[in-house]
Amino acid sequence: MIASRVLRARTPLIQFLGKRSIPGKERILSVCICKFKLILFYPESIDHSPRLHPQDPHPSLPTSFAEYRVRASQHGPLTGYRSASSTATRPSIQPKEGEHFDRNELPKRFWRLRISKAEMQAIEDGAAIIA
Amino acid sequence: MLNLLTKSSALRPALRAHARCRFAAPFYTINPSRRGMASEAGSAEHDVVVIGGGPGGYVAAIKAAQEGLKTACIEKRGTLGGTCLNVGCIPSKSLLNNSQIYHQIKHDIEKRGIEVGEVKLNLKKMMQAKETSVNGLTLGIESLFKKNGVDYVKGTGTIVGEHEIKVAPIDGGKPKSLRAKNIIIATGSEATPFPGLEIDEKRIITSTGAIALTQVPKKMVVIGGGIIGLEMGSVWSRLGAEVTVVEYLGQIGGPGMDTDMAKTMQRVLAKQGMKFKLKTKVMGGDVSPDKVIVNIEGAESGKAETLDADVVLVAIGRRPYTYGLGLENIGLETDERGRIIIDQEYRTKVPHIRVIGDVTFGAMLAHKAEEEGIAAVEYIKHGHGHVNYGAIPSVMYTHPEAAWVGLTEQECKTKGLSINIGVFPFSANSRARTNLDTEGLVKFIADKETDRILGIHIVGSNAGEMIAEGVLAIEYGASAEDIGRTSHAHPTLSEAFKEAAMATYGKPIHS
Repeated sequence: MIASRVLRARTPLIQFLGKRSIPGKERILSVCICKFKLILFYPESIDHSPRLHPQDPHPSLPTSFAEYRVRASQHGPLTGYRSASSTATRPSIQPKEGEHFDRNELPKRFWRLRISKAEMQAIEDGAAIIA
Repeated sequence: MLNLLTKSSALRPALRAHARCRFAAPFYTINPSRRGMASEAGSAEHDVVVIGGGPGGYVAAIKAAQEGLKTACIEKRGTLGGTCLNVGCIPSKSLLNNSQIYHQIKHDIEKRGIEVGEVKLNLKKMMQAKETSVNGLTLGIESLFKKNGVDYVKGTGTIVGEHEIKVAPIDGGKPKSLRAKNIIIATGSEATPFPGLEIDEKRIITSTGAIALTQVPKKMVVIGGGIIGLEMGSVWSRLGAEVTVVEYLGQIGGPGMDTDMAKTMQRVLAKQGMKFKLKTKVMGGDVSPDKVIVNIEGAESGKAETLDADVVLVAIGRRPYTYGLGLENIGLETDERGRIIIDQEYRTKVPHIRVIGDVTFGAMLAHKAEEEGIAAVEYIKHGHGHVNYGAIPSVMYTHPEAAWVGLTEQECKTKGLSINIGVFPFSANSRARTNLDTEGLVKFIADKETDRILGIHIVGSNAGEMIAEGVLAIEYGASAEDIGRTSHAHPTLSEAFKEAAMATYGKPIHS
């Protein structure tokens, strides 16, 4: 396509889009504890909430998909999923201007946890001193 | 409000969540001394257990192992490769290739200046050649499993819990239990039976019986003019059977084949000796000791007729195979056609149980299942995967072959798209003429305004290989002009591909 580009006769549709970028990759955090390396991979830019498979001829997923997630999330966060229902149909969770959320209004699992001195030390030094 | 938290406090709930979480994704623990994130060696729990060792399942298992996941694959056939390798794509291609050589030597060799003596068919040896190919390839997958560290479990897998699979070994040993963080169901499909005709794989056969006949039938009736029916019908036609294809629709090749291509294929196959009865219903059949009588009726005219045959091939389609899988044990749902219901990431309602291939939505094609196997593992390991369902090729391995990707002309019209069409026949291609093999054409369909390629359809001797360029073009969103301005070697059949592209936005040189 280079020759035709030089001639300015046409713009080819095939174009190099640049190096492959993986969504959410930039959100990787890693921490070493003992000899294990813990990677927190949180691809937040991908919406993992269940939607119709592209080849599914039906108009919607069965309600069991959402119901299962609601039931499962009662035992803790069902990681990797934003919501049981489509995020498109839900209102924004961003606070309005001048409005602030109190952490204590959230479910208990989101509350700030007390950090022991030893634990903070372990996080800051990469667990180098833990036997 | 995660963004309001401090860095260290954001870390802590996540650490705790990881300790609770049963799922592999998206939090991972990596031991640098080991290959990735797999469960401890020797532990009973696997990161991934794949049920089904066909093209979707074995590819998913190998990919998962390559990603560092502790993986097992359960297969009950006794050999890996599924329907495709054992009784489908691979053995049928062996018979298609060798029967074509036989047919060509018998009917098409003298004009090439080659004289041969008496040409005889040794069907037993032809079947042995098929078995050799199949055995080599299935054993090859076993060695790939060993190389990549996949645990190969020979048995029937039944899901008994959300993380537990009971395996009944095929050798009749004591059942054992496998635990898995993630399960991939890839149990494939089976031939749909025809009501009233009991399959015995000898006289009333499916594709499985059609690759294992011990003698050439004098007369064969093929119920269903789709890809499987036409491929197997053409094998036995070349070997000497009188083959009649009965198809309910108004065209052969199934609804996915462009009408122009279907007409071309029908004309060529009819020239080779196959007979066609389109828009015809099969009402039933009578099996007597020496014949099978097939009762047919015109779908529009209602005119009744009978066909007699030595062998009847039932090729009306395939249906998902979930027998004994235990879906009911954990309440996994299937739709009205028996397909397991999944979301866009191949997850069932139980998020760590994913489904790929023939047993769920989409075309029943081995290469589509392979793509899904890779994508499902990538979703487990990385949280994202990719299959472009708009760029999955279809190939029919008759002679000439038919291959296509993207939309048909009829689909474009139904969608109300404005299109340009470019056609180039192989009869105007220098290489096809030197090969004395000029049947067929290449057809491009592109958007009228943007010239973006919407569909490519080929009938030609190497259509199955040539379509790869078309798939790539559609995957990359190319225009017809992008192809038309790309140099193709001379003299090759691929020049017909380029010239069909040129015909779409301008004019071809050689036609």
